[in-house]
Amino acid sequence: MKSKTGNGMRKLVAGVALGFAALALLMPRDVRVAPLVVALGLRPSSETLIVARERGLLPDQRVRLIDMTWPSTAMRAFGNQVVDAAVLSLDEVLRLREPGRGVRVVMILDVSNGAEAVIGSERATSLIALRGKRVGVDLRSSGMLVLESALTSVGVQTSEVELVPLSPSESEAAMLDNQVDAVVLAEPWMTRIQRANTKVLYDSSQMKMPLYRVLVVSESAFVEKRKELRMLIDAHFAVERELRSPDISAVWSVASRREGLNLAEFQQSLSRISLIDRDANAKILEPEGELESQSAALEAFMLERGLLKTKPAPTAWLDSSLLEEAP
Amino acid sequence: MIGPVKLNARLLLLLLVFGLLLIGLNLLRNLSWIQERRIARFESEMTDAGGRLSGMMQHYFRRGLVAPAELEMSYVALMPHLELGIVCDAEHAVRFSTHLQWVGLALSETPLSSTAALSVEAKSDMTPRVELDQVGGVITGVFPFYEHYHPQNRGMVVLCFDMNDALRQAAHEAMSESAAQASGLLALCMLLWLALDIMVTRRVKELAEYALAMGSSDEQETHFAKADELSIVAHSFDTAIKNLRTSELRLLEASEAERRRIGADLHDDVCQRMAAAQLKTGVLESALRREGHAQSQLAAAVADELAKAAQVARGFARGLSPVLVQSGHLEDVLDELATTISVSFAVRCECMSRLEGSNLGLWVETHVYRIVQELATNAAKHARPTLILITVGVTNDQLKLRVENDGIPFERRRSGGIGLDLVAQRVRALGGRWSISSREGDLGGCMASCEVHLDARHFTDAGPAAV
Repeated sequence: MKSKTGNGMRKLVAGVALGFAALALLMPRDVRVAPLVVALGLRPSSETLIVARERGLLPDQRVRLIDMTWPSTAMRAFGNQVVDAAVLSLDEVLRLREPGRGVRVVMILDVSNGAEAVIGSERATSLIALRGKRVGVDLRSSGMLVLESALTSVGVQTSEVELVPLSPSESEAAMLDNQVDAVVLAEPWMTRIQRANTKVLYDSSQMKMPLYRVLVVSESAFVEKRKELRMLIDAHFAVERELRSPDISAVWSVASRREGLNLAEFQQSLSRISLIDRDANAKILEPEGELESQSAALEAFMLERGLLKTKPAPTAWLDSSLLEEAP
Repeated sequence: MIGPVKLNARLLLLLLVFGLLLIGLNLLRNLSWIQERRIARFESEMTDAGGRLSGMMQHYFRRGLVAPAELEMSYVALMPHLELGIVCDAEHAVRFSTHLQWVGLALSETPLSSTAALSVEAKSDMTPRVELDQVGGVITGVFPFYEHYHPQNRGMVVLCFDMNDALRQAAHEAMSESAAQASGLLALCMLLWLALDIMVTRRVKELAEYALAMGSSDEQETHFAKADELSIVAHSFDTAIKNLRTSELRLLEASEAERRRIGADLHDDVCQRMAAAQLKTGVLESALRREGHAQSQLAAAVADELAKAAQVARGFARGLSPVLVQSGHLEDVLDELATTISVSFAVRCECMSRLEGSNLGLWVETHVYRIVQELATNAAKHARPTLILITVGVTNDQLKLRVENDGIPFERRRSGGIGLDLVAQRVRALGGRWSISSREGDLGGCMASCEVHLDARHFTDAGPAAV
């Protein structure tokens, strides 16, 4: 005589056993949660993140900031997916998009107001005089865009100058050793080199299109590390207000050694960028907003000047959703 | 039922306890193993990175290469879990750092100031030092190098890894791994239990139920088709039961034959002799009365006693062998039985039988009579009925027997008399089925019924044991 209860029990046990077996097979083996890794170059607007880290707003377990003194290094690290995010200029982001890489621009740190410049030695005191001269520039950075823009403004072709690949930290020594006649630099190296007998021949404030410095993240990090990204954005805006206030001593105490500038120089450096608050950020980044139209113009210029070989695919890459989420 | 349930529960409990014990031990083992491995990896990474970096820094310092050193530190900063890395010159001033804000400060002003003593040791014999602070979850390494060509100018690379996050992750990993293994083990245990249940427990339970049913006289089929040990036990048990049944039949038939023989002897011999004695005593009493002897009354009393004794002896003979001498009297004896019960228990007992021309064997009639007798007597004794109805009939090769009453509803008791077991024995001897239950609806009382499919052997006088 077979009991119905017994059969029910056996079916239940078989079902539970299968459930446990499935759980054993499907249970994720690696529960590692890696922090959001962000590459930072030297730039007054990026100091907000360093200060936030020192204040404990960005714990290392959640967000790791990596100092990269060479702008092209940060770009390369991001391109190679060694880091999840980077602070780069808009033209550098367009270069990254060229091979079809999925990226998202989620925040604007600043818009340049003369923070990039072509600086000449005594041997090159004007842009016209650069013909046939040696110009040091980081070829994969925004320096190349500034140089193209400068040369275009006076009708000089890039081929008429001799380009010397140079990292920003090498520039000062190269200029003093007469290895180059002019260099293209951004803040803070731009202010540093002006301590020597140099002259600003052209700066980004003269460019036809604004040069944005943005936080760009990989597509995967954008999906998987939204909390960390929000933490990063909130931390930036928590300190950004201080940077815009008259008293920047707290920020300065951290930034001084990094930037290698004294307080007056730092303030001067800061004056060459415009910080953008959260609301303005969201407005500029929104669909069909200012950044989208400026990017289109910049893209067209870069294609024309050969800085981009092909037009990047028209995928969604500007995203204001993180900014719009309440802090 | 009680035995197998206990066996199941014990097996399940044993497996659960064993499984939980294994899970606990496995978790501890995994945790310890993964954390040890993680720390060993940290030490290895520290030694590799520190050794490589100190070698490169020696070259960069001697050549005055600042930019490559900066670049190198950028890449070092990418190492997972590196909290801080600094490069100090001979004066303990920070020349390069993964966090640029420490550049230009003295080692004592940086978060790695606590490594001062370790760095002095390392620089004294130019041997790297690695220090593990397991409580703080930090591992620190000092890797000295020659700053310039003068051997006394000794710089150093100091690296500090924060292991806390990695060790926490290791604990999560151990938990996850243990949970996966535990789930697998639980699944295995449950499947094992299921297999044991199907292959052993279930069949043992079936065997136990079979034995129990045999003991309580219920008919039961066995299904042990496999050729394993349990099936051999089941088949042996089955054979033993069948042998017992055959012996039971033989015993039943032998006792019935003996009863019939004694009944016949009583009827044919003792009763006849007593009848003759009664007749002679009657003649004696007449003769004595004619001759005016006072002993004629004594002779009359003796004749009366003899008549009563003869009646009792006939009753005994009928009880021992109700279907007397030859078959075909079943209807009569059943009527007689109904009358006897009516008289003995002061209850209405009616018998309706349709057995004309049935030609049932003597042994069949005997068993039918005994079954009816037991059921009707039981009803009269225990159910306190006002009516007992006996129905026996043969139709279409079916013998149907029913004894019902309107008394107290039937309730089977496990202990007590053996009457119902004897009924079951007789039904088995007939090769039929029987049941007893309360009557449906508001009728009250109970009803016992028995059905026997008749075949050739039921129409012979030789019992089944003879076959």
